[in-house]
Amino acid sequence: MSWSAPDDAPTLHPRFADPAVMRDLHDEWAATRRLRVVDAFAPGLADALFEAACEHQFAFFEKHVNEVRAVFWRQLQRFPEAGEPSSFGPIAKAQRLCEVDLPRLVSAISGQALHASAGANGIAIDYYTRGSYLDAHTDQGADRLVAYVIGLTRDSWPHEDGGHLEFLEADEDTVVERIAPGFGTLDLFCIYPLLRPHRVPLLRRSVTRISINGWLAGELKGPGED
Amino acid sequence: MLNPRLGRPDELAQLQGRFAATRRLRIEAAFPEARAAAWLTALRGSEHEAYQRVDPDAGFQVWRFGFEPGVGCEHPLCELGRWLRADGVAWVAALTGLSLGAEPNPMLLSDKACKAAFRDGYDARAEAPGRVIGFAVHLTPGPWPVEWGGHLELHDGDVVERFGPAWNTLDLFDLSAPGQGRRRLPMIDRHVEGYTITGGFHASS
Repeated sequence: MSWSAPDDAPTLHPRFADPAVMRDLHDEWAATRRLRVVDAFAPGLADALFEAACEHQFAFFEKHVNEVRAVFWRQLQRFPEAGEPSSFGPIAKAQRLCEVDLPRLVSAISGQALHASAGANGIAIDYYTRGSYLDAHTDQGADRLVAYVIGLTRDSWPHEDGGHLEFLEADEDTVVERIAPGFGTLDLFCIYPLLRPHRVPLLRRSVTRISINGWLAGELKGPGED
Repeated sequence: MLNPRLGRPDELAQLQGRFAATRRLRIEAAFPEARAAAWLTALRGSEHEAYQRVDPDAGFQVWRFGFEPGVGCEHPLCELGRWLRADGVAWVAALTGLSLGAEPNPMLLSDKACKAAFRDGYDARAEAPGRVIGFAVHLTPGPWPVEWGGHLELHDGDVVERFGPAWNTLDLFDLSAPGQGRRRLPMIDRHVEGYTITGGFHASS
């Protein structure tokens, strides 16, 4: 559960260096395997990510894998090679966040050794607006253990208009929990072994819902082994 | 091409009366069943591309496939397209009592009905200048309730009439008549399947 903030280019809020804070997060994670941390990032980082995302184009993204369908907009920002320029201003901090600081933080919270999911050599920034949705799925894949959502959504709206993350019963219909988009929030949830179905229901309102989504990987263990 | 019953004088007279009353008309079982089934099969195999405009008041998200009927091509959609530019024009002209001709652009459009498709209010007349009669051939295997979205709404301030998805129907609209041009397609909120081929006729020159 120990974790110390790196001195250079901090990307997470300094309060995570407080053992009491980490203890509370660890306990909450252990109880629910789902966690929302508000004001999770270093001051100004969420604003910088949001503004940089808005300066770049989102491409229409349509996916149909098995019975899971998705319609939204996506922007991929690749982590540059050493010395390579990037038009995405905070790319170095995004890389630091996703490849180093988040895995370390979430490892400390969850008690699992986690690292950035293989192949994630950049960030996927997703934009949902009216007409966007993501069908129920579990995020299962390779060695993914924990999913994270970096919330960059300033708008707020009632869940009846869609666009809130919903966790579902195994029937993929009954809503167990609903999470409103946030700004500067870090949402964590267990992928394996729980394999909880979740979805983003069809958004019916003209709002801007932006998030950076990714997975943390580690050694897969069966239920009860961790 | 049409269901043979639509060639009977009594049937045509009945359709003429209905059209004259409202300047719009839905014709059920408009084509032979085998033809409609062939068009559906062809459309299922056609790549409908997504088109969107993010706009709170005039946005849309549609999946569309455009095709130009080939001369002499035996593809079912080409046969339909050629009929609409020849015998179909004559039949619709007889039904509506208007002098009609094929449009200069032979392109026909198919819109795929699927989850998240919507279209805010638009003016069909502005989109197709010179179009007098608009048509829609619906090829939706099963209809669905209005609450699911995807029922075309004709507006004249209020909703004048809704045209829901249907199987093997031909809708005709006199775009010059009040309330026929303004339309809206409420968002479809679940996974459904359907196709609508749209186009129109100009005044005969």
